[in-house]
Amino acid sequence: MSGHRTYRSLTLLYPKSFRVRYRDDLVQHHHDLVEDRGLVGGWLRSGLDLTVTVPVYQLESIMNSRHTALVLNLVTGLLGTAGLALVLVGFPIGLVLLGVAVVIAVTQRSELARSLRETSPAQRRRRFAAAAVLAVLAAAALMVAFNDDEWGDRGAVIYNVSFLVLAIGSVGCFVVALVGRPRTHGSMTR
Amino acid sequence: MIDDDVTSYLPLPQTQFHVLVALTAGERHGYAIMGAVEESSGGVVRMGPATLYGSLKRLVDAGLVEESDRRPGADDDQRRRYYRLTGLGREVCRAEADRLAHLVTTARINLRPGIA
Repeated sequence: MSGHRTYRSLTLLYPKSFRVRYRDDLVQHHHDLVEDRGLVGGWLRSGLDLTVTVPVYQLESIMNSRHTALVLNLVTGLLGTAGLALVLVGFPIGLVLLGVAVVIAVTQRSELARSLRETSPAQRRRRFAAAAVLAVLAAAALMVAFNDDEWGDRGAVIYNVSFLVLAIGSVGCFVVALVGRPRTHGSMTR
Repeated sequence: MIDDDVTSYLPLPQTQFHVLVALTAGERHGYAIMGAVEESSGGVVRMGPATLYGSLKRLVDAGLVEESDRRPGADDDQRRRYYRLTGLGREVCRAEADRLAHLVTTARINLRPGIA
């Protein structure tokens, strides 16, 4: 018994996308190694390879563009929702959402920076659209703050804060869409 | 003359270049590629399963290598997948070989006895 089941189980440590595509090939390769070089020789090669590649591939998976785009969209979405919540629901929920957006933006700042550097035309279009929607909402919040006296001072503060959140989100989206440049296919890593 | 599209892939990581060189001899499955790389490098480059398939994944994603339709012989495991160079992969491999040859020439000239 060459421990193929053990090796197959260990391949669960790889990112799903890699595992789904190459799991059978990896196990077949390990099987060939064990047949050619013996149990110890085969496992030595496969085990060392596993130890080195699992953290590298996991890290690459975390840092891939889908993840960076997700972080950016999440922060943008939360900013928009926070602005809307401030207008419609009031301070507590809006501020909580705003806080969550800020925390994610700060902790994932490297992903946001990466997303800023690399983008696709479709992503750019979506970001311009998000900037436009947030700008309209910001303008609406500002108009209500100026024209509606029924809300009193507290209402005016809510609308002003909403305007600020939505305006910052809109400008942020616009800047990200403007400076992001298309990904190049030549960036091949080891 | 090398066009910009090809040069944008250079320099290739060492393992990927070895894989491309192994495939210049024709279609091969993963284990055969590993054997060819070991042989051509004099045993210096030793790739484990995930290192090899990680390199193949990047090369396939970049359009330099593709999966072949060829199926294994009756005496071999039918699940084996064969890989081959694409036209672009061959051009990139050639460009990388030229680049390295130029580098070697420069190194040899600079390292001649009598040159500081």
